[in-house]
Amino acid sequence: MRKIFLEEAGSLYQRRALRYLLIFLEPMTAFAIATLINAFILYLLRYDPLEVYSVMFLTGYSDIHYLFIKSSPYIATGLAFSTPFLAGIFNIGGEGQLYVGALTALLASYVSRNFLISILTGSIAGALLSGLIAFLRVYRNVNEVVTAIMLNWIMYYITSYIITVYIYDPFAPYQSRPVPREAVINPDLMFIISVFTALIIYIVLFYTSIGYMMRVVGRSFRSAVYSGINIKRIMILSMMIGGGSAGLGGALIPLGTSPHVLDNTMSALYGVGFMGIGIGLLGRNNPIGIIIASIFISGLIIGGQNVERIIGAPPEVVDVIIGITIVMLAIPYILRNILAKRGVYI
Amino acid sequence: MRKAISRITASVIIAIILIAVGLLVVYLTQQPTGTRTTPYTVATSSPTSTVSTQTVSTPATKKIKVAVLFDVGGRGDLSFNDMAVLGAEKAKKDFGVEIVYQTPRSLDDMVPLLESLSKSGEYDLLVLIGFLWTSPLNATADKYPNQKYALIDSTTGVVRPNEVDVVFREQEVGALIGVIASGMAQSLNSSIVGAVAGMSIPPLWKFHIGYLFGIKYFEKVTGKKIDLIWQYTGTFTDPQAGYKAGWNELEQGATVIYGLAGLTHVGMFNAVIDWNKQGRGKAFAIGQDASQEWYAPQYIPVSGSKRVDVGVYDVIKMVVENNWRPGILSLGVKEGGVGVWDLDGVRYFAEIAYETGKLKDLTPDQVVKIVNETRNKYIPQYVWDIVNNLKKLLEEGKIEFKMPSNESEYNAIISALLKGDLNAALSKGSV
Repeated sequence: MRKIFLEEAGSLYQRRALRYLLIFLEPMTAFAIATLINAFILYLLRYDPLEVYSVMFLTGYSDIHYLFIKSSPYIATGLAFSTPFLAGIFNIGGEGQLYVGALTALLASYVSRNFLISILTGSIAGALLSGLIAFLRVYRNVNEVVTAIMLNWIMYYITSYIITVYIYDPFAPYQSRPVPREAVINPDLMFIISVFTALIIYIVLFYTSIGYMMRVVGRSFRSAVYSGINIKRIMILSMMIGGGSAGLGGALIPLGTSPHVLDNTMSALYGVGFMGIGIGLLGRNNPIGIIIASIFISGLIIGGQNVERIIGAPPEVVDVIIGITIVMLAIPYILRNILAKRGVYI
Repeated sequence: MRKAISRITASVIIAIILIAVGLLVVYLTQQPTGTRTTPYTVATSSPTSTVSTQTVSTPATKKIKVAVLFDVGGRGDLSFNDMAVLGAEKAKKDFGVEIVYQTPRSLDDMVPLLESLSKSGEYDLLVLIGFLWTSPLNATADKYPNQKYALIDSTTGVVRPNEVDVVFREQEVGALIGVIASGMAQSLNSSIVGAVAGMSIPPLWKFHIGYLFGIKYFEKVTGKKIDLIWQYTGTFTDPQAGYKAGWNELEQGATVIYGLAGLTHVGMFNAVIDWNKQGRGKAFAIGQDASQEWYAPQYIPVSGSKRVDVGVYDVIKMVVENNWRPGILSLGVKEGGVGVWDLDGVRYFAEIAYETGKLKDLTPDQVVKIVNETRNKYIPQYVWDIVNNLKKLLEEGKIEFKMPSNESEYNAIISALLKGDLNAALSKGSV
């Protein structure tokens, strides 16, 4: 009944070659389909698809520092989704963990005037928040999606409240006081920190016993129980790694991005956590893939901003294009996951 | 299982073919017409712009290019960003300049955006809409001395040769509205007016001084006593706080409430609407910045204006006429920068609200009609006479308001005004 499709095809080397070919072919095809759909939509809206695409790609990837600034938080929130996902938990709370990370890092920077302490504070705060979600899931059987979504909004309003009431800048009351000069980090370091985090999580996931246990829990709950893995501990741990990563992303935003403040609507944070879900799926839940996916999407977003100025299309059109691209690129992976559940591996 | 996979591949292939065929059909049946049906190009008609290009005094060797950079959120906010478009499109028509717009995604995208636009040197002027640009501009302006910047409704506190900060004299609009509010309260047989303010910060201090000045001026001219309930909510973004503050003031007997708290005072509007609908009495609200009458024309007959469009137009004009004056450009009644929205302004914003689906029950024409009727009924001619007198004094520069530099100065002016010393608020002239 269960057939492993690739196993039938030729020798070991042929199979391996086919698998590597698929890795490149799959996203290429998905991207081509996304481009076709986008071209159709743009055509209906009376914009030249070629022009829109050339603006997005030519202006999006030209400024390396901007690309670093934009992609670093996405790497972090992508990891925040993917790490728990591999252990079978759906962490939609990256957004809330991002807020709490940004806020605590900002507060810590006022006191410590040191970027390392601020980043650590942000990460720990994010980890604790996600730990709470996982704790309720594991010991009280509360659905983690519901908890996480509620906590997202709670954290949004708490952060907004604290910025508006306690740490506002008297000369610009719509934003917080800036991060002290000593605690500011530059975009290069920001990018290095997030890539480094991705690499550590990669090693933990694929080269340590804890990572192995996480993947077993995610792949097959029953096998994990049978082999004596402490499932509760592993689930909480994976969630806390994810939350810590989201908290790190939140901390990097005020510390690394000029003008080094949070405004009271948190425009720089809003949506970055949710985008992490798309980034994680795009990167095939692999930390290395997430780095690539983050840079790719950041470039599209940066270039997309210029479409309004150069072509005159409203920013919402670009949002639609980016959204369709992400969905189309994620489809093959989701499809494969669904098929794998039915015993078909391609 | 092999069958299942091939079924999926087959359906994907069919989907691709369908899309391709659809594209082809559309391409063949519909010849692309050169004009795009976007709001960006609809607002301008090309004949007028070509005609007016010739009226520019300097021979146009190179067309002047201006980039208008919106506040986060972009067009359709029915406030600053839409007013900026109004001013920029007018400048485009009058001077034949090229205008482009861009919306930053967030506060953190503002610095990179300013950097890349300044570096390119493509635009003669970058117009930055709203206070959120203050810190990003401070971080960028010194690096690009050849790039001109205009910051609207905020100031960086630094004088640079390549930067002009457009600010508005809030006291003047406050004073005009103070008179109108007092007059409306009198029409409702009441002697209490209110205001729901945001945070206790310098721009709001200026509003407070102006509003109280207007009320006391009305008192002085007519001899009827009017009291003010002024309340800070501490927020510009919380309609719930605005509702509570508004309701509280209504319970204390206020009949006309001035909204000075951005999104917060929309809650106050709702409180006033509920107060009227529940039959607790007749009360009015007054909006600020953009014309907000469309929100509830029966209950919001007037709005104070902060003409971002005039500011944008004026700074573009400075560049076109090669008359760049860096520093602070202060706009008041005299320059047409602040005032009371007339019915044309009411119609303009009602139309945008109608197009964006925010105005649902009424058409823009009905809004204008209702506003006009309410104004005629509740703002008698003698009130307009007082307003016009005050306006004349301001226009002729006979009186000028003080700028409080710190909180104690602000409190001193307020307590002097409450005692009836009108001249305490003035730095020039007397009434």
